[in-house]
Amino acid sequence: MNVSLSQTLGVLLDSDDIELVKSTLHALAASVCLESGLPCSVMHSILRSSARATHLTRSRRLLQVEMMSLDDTTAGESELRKRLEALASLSIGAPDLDLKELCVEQPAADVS
Amino acid sequence: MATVQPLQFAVLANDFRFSLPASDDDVDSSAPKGLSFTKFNRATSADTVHPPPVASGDASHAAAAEASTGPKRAVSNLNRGPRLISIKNFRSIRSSAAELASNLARDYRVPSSSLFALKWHIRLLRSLDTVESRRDLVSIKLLAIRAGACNRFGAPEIPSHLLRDDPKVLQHLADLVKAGSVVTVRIQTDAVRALRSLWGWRSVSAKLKDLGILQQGLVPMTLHRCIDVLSSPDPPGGYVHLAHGLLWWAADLVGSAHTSSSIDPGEVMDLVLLILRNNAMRFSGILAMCCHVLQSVFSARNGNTHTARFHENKGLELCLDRIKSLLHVPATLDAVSTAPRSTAAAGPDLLADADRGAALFEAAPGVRRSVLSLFMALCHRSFERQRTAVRSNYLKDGTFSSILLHLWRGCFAISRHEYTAGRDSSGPTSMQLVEPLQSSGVRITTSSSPDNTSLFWGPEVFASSCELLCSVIHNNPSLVKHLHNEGITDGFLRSLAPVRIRGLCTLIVFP
Repeated sequence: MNVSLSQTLGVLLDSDDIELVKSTLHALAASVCLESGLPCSVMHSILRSSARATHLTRSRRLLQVEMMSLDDTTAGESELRKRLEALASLSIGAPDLDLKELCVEQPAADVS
Repeated sequence: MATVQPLQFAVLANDFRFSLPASDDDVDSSAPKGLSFTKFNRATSADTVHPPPVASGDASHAAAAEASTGPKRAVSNLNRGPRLISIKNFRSIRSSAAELASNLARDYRVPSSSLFALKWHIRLLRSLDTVESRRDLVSIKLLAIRAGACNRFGAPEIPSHLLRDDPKVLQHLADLVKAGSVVTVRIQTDAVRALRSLWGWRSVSAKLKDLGILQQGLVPMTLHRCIDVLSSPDPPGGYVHLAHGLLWWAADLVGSAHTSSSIDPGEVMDLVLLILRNNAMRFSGILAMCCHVLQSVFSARNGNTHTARFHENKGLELCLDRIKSLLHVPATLDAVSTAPRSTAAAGPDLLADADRGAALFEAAPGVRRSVLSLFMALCHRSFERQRTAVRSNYLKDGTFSSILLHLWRGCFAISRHEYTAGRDSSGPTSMQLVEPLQSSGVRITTSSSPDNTSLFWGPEVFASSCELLCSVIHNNPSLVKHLHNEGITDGFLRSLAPVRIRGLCTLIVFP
């Protein structure tokens, strides 16, 4: 993966737009690039179509602004990996609360 | 049993705590930047609550500064353990997550490596009020697990760090898959895909086996439920993707030696045949994955037993029926394939629909051709592993030879350019070359759309079909005369006529 692509993905993951973050992760996870090693151009096209799907016109402006503020230390693939890891580790942290209970309409009442 | 209070989200969201590495120098680049309250608890017990060092005019910052409590820590203690940012009445702060994170980063001298995690912790705590936003966050976590785990370019630490920091994560993912209607299908699908991606790592697969999740039949049971839903007259959206994810994982599980005792390939094969029997199930992605699973079953230990069972259960007939249906190109595909450009500016709703993505996949060039090849390769494989002669009506009633003859007519149809030229000069058109074939009472119809290039199957499909024919004859040589009488020999030679193959650049094809 080239630096500019990793950089772009990293910035997208940092967005306040939750839909954009989900879409970026989708593109990352579903991309044949990652799972079968196809060229980056495929990844770019997947990302572009994914970006279209999440009405990126507004987010693209945001992206341009944020890209300009990036310095060398936050660019590249290692930063992208760190960001992925941080998102994968997202946790509410309460010991008795699992993912399923986060997804239900009303958290389960006392079931003991 | 675990007790969960309904208001726990609100309580948690009201106070903000975030642990930091002791200093920039102590930042461990290999350590996860995830967030959890267990870390905070450790930090609290170590008496490391850190107040805001500098006040500023910014309202959010002022609120944060005023709200913070706790003993001030000496600078010399910085390297003793993690620092902790603690903010009371966190929800009263109105600034955006990015602004607040930026202020906190400045005031608490948060290292740049922790800034992203800090920002997401703020977003997380602000999203706990509604079930939709909580689901969004769970989706993000699941997608990140999947993206991180499938990144073969060099992120092996993600799965191991994930297991280290949250030992229950696999059980929680399995619970999501098993949850049924309690959680959305989208979340279940993401959980299945995350598990599949994680399973590729040896440490995770061993852990999954230890937990007994696979032995409890997680994959077959969920797949069965999925098939039931998809078999209903008007199935709700999303289940196709769930089935696709489950089949993908099933193929991996069946094909793996170290989980062979955790899943029964025969049971998985029966489920796949159930899908193939359901004519309503036409999504190419599912069909391709069915082929993938059956190939894995045939390759598993005792593969010969499984091929015998496949033929006993009319697997060949099911595959040939699917090949026939793939030869019929719905006219609606053209409309779907041109839709994204025309609706791209219309707004997000249409294009954000996952089912629309599935339709676009269906219409993508080459998808049907690939699925066709997969089915023929699967049939070939089933014959290859079969030691006794396969008895099937389709081999004798002309269905098999009709399919091959029809395919061969479409494999080397003239190119689009020649088609156009031929039409202009009132010469033979591609439609005449692939016209509906009627033989031995079997009729196969194709689309009448002259612009649909899906009808030109190409040399790969031709090679796959020839390979299948060879394996059929090898399996039962007595069929040769029968096939010859049905025109297979003539059809084969005709398909190699110079007029048909002159436009080909392919020298040789290995199916």
